[in-house]
Amino acid sequence: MSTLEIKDLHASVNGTEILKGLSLSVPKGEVHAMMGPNGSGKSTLAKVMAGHQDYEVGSGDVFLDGKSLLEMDVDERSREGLFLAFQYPAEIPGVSNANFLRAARQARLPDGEEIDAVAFYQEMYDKMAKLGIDKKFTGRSVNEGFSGGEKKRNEVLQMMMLEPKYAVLDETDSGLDIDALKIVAQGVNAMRSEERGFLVITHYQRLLEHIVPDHVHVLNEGRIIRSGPKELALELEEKGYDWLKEGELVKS
Amino acid sequence: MLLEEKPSVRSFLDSPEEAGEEFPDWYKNSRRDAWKSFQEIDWPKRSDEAWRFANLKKLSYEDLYDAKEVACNDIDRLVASALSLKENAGQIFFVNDRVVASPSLNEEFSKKGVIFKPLSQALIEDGDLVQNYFMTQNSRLGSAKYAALHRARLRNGFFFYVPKGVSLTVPVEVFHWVSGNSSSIFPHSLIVAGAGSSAMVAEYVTSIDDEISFCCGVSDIHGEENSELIYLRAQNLSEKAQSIHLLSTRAGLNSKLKTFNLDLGCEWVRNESVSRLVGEGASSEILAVSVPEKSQEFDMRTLQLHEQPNTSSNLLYKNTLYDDSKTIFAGMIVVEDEARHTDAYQTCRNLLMSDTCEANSMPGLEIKADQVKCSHGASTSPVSEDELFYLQTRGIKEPAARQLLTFGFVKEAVDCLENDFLEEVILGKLERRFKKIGVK
Repeated sequence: MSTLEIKDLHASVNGTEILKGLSLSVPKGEVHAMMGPNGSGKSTLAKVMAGHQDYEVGSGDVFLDGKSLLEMDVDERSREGLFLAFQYPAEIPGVSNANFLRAARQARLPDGEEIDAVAFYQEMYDKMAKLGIDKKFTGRSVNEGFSGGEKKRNEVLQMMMLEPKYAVLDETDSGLDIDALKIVAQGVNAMRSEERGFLVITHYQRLLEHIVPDHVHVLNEGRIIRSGPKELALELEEKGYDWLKEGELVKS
Repeated sequence: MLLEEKPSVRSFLDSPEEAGEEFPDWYKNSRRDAWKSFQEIDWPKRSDEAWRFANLKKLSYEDLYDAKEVACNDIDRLVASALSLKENAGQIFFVNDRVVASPSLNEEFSKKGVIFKPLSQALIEDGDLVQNYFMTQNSRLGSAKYAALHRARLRNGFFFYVPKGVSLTVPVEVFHWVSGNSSSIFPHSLIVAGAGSSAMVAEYVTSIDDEISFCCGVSDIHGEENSELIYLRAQNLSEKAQSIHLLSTRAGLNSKLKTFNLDLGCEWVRNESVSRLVGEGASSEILAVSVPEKSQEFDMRTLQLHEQPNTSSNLLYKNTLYDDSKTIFAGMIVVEDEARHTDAYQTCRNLLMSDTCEANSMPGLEIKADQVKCSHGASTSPVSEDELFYLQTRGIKEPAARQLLTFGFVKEAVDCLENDFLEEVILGKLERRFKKIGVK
């Protein structure tokens, strides 16, 4: 039961089917990498799991510890323990990072219970320090005017503050220089535990040098065409995706 | 009983009371002249360009009277019910344009020559000084008739004069309350920041009851060279009230002026703001937030007038509209021949919280000089789905997410003040407002 399980998922956007029967199981305690060429459906998978309204699920389901995610509202999925680190996080003028995180934490408390503000700030500052984020950040508007690296760090900070059961990281390496990449990877690695599963979506092998996965899956045209150990990522780096795509053709 | 009404009723379309003997002659004449002008000037019509889109039917005059004097024996309770500053350099309290408690001014500043007192008192004690600045700005945006009415009928207000080189690090605060059915008030705010001085002013206009009332106010701000001044006016009159407010600023050489209008109450509001940049290097920031609901109508007309080179102005108006409410924004930037190297910006953003609200924006530019940077923009949209989705993916429920976003929307304008004292008061009033409106 302690898995994030995607079962034969079909999803489309604007009438075009992108995910064509995707199945995958990410147990707690493991890091799974999802790789694939552009347009293979990686980001679609992330958005569908989070519940974006533009994506329509045709059939299949996603289960979080046995509960159907697709039956839940967007905010409910988060409170149930799913976290999506966005490839392109939204900018929200006028809403400070501190107020945003506080509202997200408050939403997890029972009605009528107020968050302990002092403890909250202390925890936030500690976690910011781990990610090398300046204190002034708390007063800045969410992602507004942030560099690519700052936005990604902010995603990881949110993950650290919300302590999800399963985290889906969508192209978290894009837009990061090597130093920022290392910091972000450290943040993720620090959160690896027996109590948490990760699905790391990435186009390049580079991120996986820093966040070493237990399993690697290759997505192509909306389905997983190959799964293997971490070495698969290296092989892909060397041979490119066409190697697998060709193999796929031969097989079929 | 908190308030006790005393008799004396005069329709505001009857000739006004003469100023008493103790007032200077120039002022007595000014009132008489103004009454004459008021009678001569035509009432505005919707067909006038300056009143385009305005629903003048919402403005009725027949049953409005000069507000009666009321005795107020519990000013502390009134002050406590208002959200005000934690610290202030001085306070003046009015109910129905009458001073209801002893005005205060920190001794440190009065020793330095700062004047902060009711206008009726300043007219008598500092008549010559007041005369230099009193109603010297022409009404340019369509409300000449109301400017004349104000000048003819005004009873009180305040005069704040900061001498050369004096800095007030804490704001002064002015409270206006209006009470009683069909009461009309004409508060006048006259602010002069002397050369190299700096100061802040917070002014609140609020109803005590939920009766029909009318407020016709004028705020004139004069910033002499190298002065810095911030002025906040927060209006939260009753839902049946009507308000006309004419704000003008005159920014001298290298001065920096900021104004902030917060409009929450009233059935109908007309705000005119004229920002003149009359000295080289002067800058003006013109900010406003309004949160209308139900059938409230807020009509805002602005002019940024660059008269000298190297001047800058930045206007940001933000409106969050609920229900069947309506806003009108007509902004104009004029850059005169002389005013080379002007930097002027004008932005009006409307957040639509219902399908039936209506936001009208009419931005405009008139540039007569070379080497000028000017831009204007207006946007009107509902809450962004992308922003909403992002907040929800963090577990925040939709109603709370919408509240965060609407609050964030207006807060962006508040942040531009860069003044902790005033920001806190404004945010407090906005929080109260959004709470009252609730989730729609």
